[in-house]
Amino acid sequence: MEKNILEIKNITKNYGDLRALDDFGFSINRGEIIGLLGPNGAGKTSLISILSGTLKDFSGSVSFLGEDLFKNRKLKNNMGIVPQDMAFYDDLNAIDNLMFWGGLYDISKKKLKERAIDLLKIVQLNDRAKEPIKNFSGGMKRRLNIAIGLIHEPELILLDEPTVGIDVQAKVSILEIIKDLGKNGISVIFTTHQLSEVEEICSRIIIMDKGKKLVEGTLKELIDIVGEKEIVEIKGEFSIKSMNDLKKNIEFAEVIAIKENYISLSFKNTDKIPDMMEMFFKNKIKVSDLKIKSPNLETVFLKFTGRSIRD
Amino acid sequence: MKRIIHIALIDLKIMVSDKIFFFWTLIFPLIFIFIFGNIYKDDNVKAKAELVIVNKDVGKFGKYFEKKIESPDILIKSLKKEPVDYNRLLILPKDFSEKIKSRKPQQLLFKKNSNANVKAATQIEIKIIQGITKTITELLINSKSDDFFDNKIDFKDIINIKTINLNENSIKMPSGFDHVIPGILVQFIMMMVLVYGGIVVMMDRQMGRLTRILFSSTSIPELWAGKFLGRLLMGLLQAFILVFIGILFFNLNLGNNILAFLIILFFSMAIASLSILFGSVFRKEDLIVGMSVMSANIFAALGGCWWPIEFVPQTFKTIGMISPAYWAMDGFHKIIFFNKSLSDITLNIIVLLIYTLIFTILSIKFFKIKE
Amino acid sequence: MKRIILILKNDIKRRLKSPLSILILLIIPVMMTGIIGTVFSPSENKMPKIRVLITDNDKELGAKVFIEAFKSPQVDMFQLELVEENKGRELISNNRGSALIIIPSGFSKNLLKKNKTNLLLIKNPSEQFMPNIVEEFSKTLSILLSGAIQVFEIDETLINSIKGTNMDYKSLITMLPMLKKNKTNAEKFKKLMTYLNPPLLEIKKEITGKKTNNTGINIFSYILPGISIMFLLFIIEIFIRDILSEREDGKLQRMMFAPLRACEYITARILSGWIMGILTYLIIVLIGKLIFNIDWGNYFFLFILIIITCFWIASFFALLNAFFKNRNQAGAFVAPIIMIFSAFGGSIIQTNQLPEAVRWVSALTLNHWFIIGANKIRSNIFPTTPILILLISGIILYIIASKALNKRIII
Repeated sequence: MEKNILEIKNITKNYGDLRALDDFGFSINRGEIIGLLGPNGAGKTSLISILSGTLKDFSGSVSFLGEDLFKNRKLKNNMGIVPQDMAFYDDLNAIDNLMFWGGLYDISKKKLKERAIDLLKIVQLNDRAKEPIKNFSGGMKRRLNIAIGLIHEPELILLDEPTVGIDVQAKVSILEIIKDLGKNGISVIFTTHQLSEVEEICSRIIIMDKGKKLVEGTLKELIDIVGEKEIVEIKGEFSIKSMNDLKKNIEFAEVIAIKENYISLSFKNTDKIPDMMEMFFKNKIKVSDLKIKSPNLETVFLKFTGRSIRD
Repeated sequence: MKRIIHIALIDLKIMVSDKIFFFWTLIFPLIFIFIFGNIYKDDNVKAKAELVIVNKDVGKFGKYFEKKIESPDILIKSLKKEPVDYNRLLILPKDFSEKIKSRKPQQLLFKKNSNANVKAATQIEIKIIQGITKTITELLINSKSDDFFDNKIDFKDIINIKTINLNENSIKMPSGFDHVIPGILVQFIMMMVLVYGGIVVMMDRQMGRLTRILFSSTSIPELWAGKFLGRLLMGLLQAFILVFIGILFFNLNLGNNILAFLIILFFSMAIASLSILFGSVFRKEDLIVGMSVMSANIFAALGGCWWPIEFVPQTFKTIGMISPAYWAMDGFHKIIFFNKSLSDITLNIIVLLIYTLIFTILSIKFFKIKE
Repeated sequence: MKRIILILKNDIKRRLKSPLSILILLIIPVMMTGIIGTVFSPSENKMPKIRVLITDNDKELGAKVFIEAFKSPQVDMFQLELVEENKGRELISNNRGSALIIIPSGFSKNLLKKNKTNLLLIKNPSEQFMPNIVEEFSKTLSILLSGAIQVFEIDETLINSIKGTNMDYKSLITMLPMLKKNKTNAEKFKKLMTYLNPPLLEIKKEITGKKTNNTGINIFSYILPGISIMFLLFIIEIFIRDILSEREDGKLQRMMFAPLRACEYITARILSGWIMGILTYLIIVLIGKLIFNIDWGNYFFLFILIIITCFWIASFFALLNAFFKNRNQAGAFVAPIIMIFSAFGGSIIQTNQLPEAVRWVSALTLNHWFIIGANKIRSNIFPTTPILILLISGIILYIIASKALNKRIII
């Protein structure tokens, strides 16, 4: 059996002068859950469109189950998606939706029906199976969204922000479902803005921005790259320009990101923080807030992208 | 009051900022006005009905007969050969004069193009019959003379029909546009207010905007009043656009402008309440559009917006009284055509107020903040 | 093919679960047909008679003949009321009469002396047609009367014998031979009869152009096709708009993750609008038959026309949706396009009522060709031209729409 279920290599996609994907690539193993992180405009949507076959004219290759994904349409029977949108029919009930979406794949009607009933149990919607979806809560819709993505028993599933806009309880339940997928040998590509979710369920993390893969590794590996340094976030009244001018004189810490009225720095030795503050005051820079954080995925993200994931 | 106006103005802004707003409120009613105005154009201003006469006659009677048909409201084109394109065509045969001289009966071929205007064809037909009558009369009174065209005694129009205005002091007879524009105005107030007004109420509720408004110090009655005022302003804006265009381009005469404003105001009030009711009861955009188009058209048809009211059978007129549009149109007729005063349209205003009251009560009953 | 059928079945299921908006769009044309048909029904007892008010200040023969002509059973379109002038004016100003004719005193005497005389006519200003009919009828009557006076020598005896009596139209006719008592009149009367029986001049009417011969008198059958085609455009547009909504709400992308080809999806969407349109129109045909007793003519021909029309509409809107950015844009543009189609294509008013300058526009509309087709079919004629025009243009639209949509899906 091949090790990589999906291998994306050197994908570059341009929209006129804009480069949406820039020599982008990664691979995923069977049963692996990887987190694909990137701020808005990172290139995730383009990547999803390429995988769905709706985006052409790109360079690079996508190999799925050892074959070129775009040369064998049947391969799509083994791939699923849970889109960010509630992409199903509100007027129909859960069973009707599962039967329709499942029907698009090469799967027998009998098996489809059995699978639909099983899935509704898994996502705890079996008692609401025949109720129009328009009566469902946000969490219920999210769970159904996942069930539809799994109806044809894919070997790889792409989950695009499956926990957006739902309460904590529903989120926990969805994360449990995703963890179980991995345990059952299904590979998962998981995109989210909730870094804590990635920390919780993903065995490997890829950070991308502006179409490029910036870094890849386990959570520990990524934190190690940042180093065991304390992260200091400072808010105040200063411009990016003034901070860039000042940056040259900061020797005791590494600047991670500078934004308007914001700077984050990585200190090996926090004893040096007062020195920095003194320098700020000398330069008449007003500081309103200072936070010291231990390195985590958020600081890793900030280091590599220079911005927060929500920007 | 400040908050009511604030809510009302934002609704009006939503309507006006729609890209297609000017099509619905201006271009589309203009197409209607143009088409219907032309159909129902008044005789004084209408384009002359055209008649092509193919005069193959070798004698003098052909030309003579043409003269007998001549009338200020028809345009005669005399040709020698039958043209390919025509609307109405009368053929005077080669032996036309010969047969008249020998008093032999003859049939003149009158061709009507099926695609041409039916009303103009009837008008021409009447003129031809009148021409025949005059010809026969002259033939009779001159039967003794040897040569008809020598010292002929001409037919005399002894009786003249003189049309006078009902009101001696009124300057002009109402034009076709005076008939058509009020009907289109009433119909489009209904269409615009019900569709736009209804959808915005529904969207406000579904997207939580109503809830958000209530988080401010705005009360529910203020919120309802704001929505009502917004829709009323939509109706008045639609009316203003059409009246303005009507006066500017179609010489529209609404009679007493203040009374016309009162009718528009009270009618728009009734429709404003109805639009809140639609937006509160229905949960889908398609449904609101469908119900609005249906109600607007049925009210318009029953109320006499579509066709001259004299065509409508009495039973239908009675049924039409259930439509608010009937009361608005009846009011318009009273002031535009009969120069009636406020006391004469009081009943119309009261009925429109009753409609406003009924729709208001229902819309308050069904007004929901959340789904 | 399996996936195309699946999408189609799913669409039907969805529409059946929430049919209200489609039902409303079905009810509107039926109701409008009912209303318009009832108002303009040719059935005589339903058509209101024209109310004519006459003030007779003359009360002699001329006035009598004039008044009685309005009452004549051959005309039978006026409801006559003799009133005092003030009362007449009041009735008109209260919208209770189409026209008031005032016959001045001395009218008959002036007539006999062949002196010019005026009849005053006050039209109801709020009415558009009826007063004009009264006016034209009065004019024709005046010409006849003027002619008769110029032909015959009418003496005072005849006038005096009628004065003060309440003779009706029939009695007046019996008086005519009295004219013959005068020798000159007798000759003229004889001559007149030879001129009128058969008429010396008569018009023979002929309808030209490509009008079909409709024998049916069911007015609803003229109205329903025009109005229903307008609403069929709206209905199919709703089905086809799924192309935009599914792209916007992510369903299309989700579908494309399945082994579904873009061309299969496009075919399914157009096919869905097409078939749903056919089913919807068959309901309209059935309603027309059951409610309005419409004889649609040859049902096989009609079915072919419906199939081709629905195909045309589905392809047309598929093409439009390939260019619209989103549902809002579609919503904004589609309704005006349909309304322009309907206004110029004969759905709102007959195309021959349109101002001649803009009549050519109607040939560019679907409504025009469908209405012509339906009219021909009612006369059991196969509408070759409309069907060919719709079929060829429909295929062209389909090809362009498929290519354009494919470009929108696969970027």
